[in-house]
Amino acid sequence: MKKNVHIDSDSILVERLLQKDEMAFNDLYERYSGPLYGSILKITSDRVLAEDILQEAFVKIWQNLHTFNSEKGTLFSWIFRIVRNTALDKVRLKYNNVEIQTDDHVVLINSTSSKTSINEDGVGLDHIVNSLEPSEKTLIDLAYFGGFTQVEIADKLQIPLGTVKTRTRKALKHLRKIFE
Amino acid sequence: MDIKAYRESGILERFALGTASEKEMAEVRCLSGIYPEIREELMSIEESLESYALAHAQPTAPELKGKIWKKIKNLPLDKAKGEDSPLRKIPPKRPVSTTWMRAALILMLIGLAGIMFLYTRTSSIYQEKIAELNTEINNKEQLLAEAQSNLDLNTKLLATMRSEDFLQVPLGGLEGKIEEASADLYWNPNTREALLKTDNLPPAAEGKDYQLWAIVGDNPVDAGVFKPDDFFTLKVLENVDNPIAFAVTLEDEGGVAQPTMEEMYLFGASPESEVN
Repeated sequence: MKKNVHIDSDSILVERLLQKDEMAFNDLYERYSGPLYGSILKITSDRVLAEDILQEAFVKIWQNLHTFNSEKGTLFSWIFRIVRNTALDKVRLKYNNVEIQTDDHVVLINSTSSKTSINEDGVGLDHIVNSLEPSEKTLIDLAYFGGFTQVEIADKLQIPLGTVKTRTRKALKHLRKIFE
Repeated sequence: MDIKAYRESGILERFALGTASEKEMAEVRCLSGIYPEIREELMSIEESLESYALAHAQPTAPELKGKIWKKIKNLPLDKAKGEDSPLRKIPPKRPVSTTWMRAALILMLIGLAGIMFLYTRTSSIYQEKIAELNTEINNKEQLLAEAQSNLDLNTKLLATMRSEDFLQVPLGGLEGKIEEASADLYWNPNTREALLKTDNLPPAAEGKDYQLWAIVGDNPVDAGVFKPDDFFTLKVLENVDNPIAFAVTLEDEGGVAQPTMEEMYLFGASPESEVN
């Protein structure tokens, strides 16, 4: 049930956005700018750069809205991909490469973003951090925010590729349980 | 397709995490369109990641929203690729003189008349041709159907020959007759089906037929006539129980009640009977 609601609201919002409606833009921004900004801050702690990235990404989203297909995935995952790729391109350009730290649950080059934020479902980051194994969170963060492939992750963390694969699957299963 | 194995392969997770290769991404997009189970699984993973990202929300600077909206609003129109932008330019209508329109209309009518003329002249030629082609197609279809039924039969026969339910009885050419001739008889004791394949047996002379016999106990039982050019002959021998051997004789056309022993061409003992 929840899924259908999701698809419908996605496609309704996109339809309104395609009409170039300012209210629709407002809704989109209110719904997703926070998580997107937070995600960008996982890649760079430079807030000015992060805001630039968010602006550029919103323009790209706006220009490519007609290519979104609600049958092929959620609106957020489509938007997230644009934002993340914009961020990674910019950050790589600026820093030549993305440094990551894996000693904490804060990874990538971000070191300032706060751990305490609340999402709409009331499941805070602290709750997730407490529920997920630190190694599970690292794997998800590296792939999801950092855009690292499983081969790259295996290389960075010095663990076998097969282990990365099975642990990532397990971590995502775990994540699904948390949000069920 | 094994959906369960696919769901467990990890490709959907890589897709949702945005780390799948281009090829994998195209594959997942395609398959999630075909299989609802894959799509649901993918959506579910994406939703949990969305919740995960939502949990990482950070407040943006208050003036940022206005800045972005201003940027979007001022985008040049041709860059906004909306399919049905209400502002898309419509080419202006040019006035067309009625004289030109008349001339064009007359030309069109002349052209149309020409086409009609050519059509009626050529259509009869084409109809003949079509009829010819149809006949040809019918003939080809018939040939194809025959070939198909032959193939079906041969496939069935080959399967029969290989099946363990059938005993193979090799028949050899008899001395003084056609010694290089031979045959294989496949016999299914349960269903009483018999299958005969001959080798080097020449066609029977005019007014003659080859006749197959099953030897049950001391008595030869008529198993029907056949032509050696039948590559395979399959029949059910209702009256044959535990045959100890099979034989082929040359008889008058249509077959006879008792075999002519002097005209026996092929003979072979059933392997089962030897064991017994």
